[in-house]
Amino acid sequence: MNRENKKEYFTDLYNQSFDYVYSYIFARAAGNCQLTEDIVQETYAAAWLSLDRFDEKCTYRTWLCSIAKNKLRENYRKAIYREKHEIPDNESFNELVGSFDLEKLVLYHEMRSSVLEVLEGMCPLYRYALIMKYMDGQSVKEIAKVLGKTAKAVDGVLQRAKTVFERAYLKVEGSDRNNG
Amino acid sequence: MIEIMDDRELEKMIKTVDIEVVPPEGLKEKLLARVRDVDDKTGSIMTPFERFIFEKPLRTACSISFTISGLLWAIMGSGLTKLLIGMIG
Repeated sequence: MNRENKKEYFTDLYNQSFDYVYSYIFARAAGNCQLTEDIVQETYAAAWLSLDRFDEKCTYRTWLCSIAKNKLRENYRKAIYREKHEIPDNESFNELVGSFDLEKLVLYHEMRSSVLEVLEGMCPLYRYALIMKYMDGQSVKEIAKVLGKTAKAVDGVLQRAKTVFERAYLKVEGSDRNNG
Repeated sequence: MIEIMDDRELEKMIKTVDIEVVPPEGLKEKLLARVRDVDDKTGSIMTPFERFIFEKPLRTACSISFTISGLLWAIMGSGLTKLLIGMIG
């Protein structure tokens, strides 16, 4: 395939898959638009570079999603490393939820918006653990491998993440009802 | 004390996020242009040989290693094994 044909082929695939890949990343980035944009760009850039190696054993979408998954993993690992010593305790999380813009909260009537908001406000480790477990259906063992922790440690992380999620969700929903 | 949510309930809630969304207008074109820009930059700067090294570093390392081993074997013959054993031992 020459360069021009490759470009044309890539553009076709890009147009066909963009919305799907964007949505896949958007959900796993917990609705963070800037992060989604960056990961989408990195995913397609990587796909372009390795287009010749795509063997069509799976669909193009699946292939792109696996690239996106790796890019997300890299990103979360960096974020977790950065915040290693700054895992928010309940108090700081309450402050975080309390500082949400009032006008912004009025818009969050649907459960989905609240879930997105809560996930986005959580620390990267808890957010990523919940996404891997409940969105992608990965086992504790698989999560442990990704995070470089023991299964027991991941169990603890998931338990704490669930507690933080529930508290923050109730808080957001409560504020939502009060403001609505 | 808040009771921890049921796993199924939590899964259902988190999965509400995983639906198809409409990307902001113009983003698709903007990102395609950026991906092409990155490609044009690397494509115009790097020669095919440099691209090979950049894209396939493992293959490059193996090729160099085999070439050097082959050359040393051709020059030294069985002396190479003795030298290697001597270096290790």
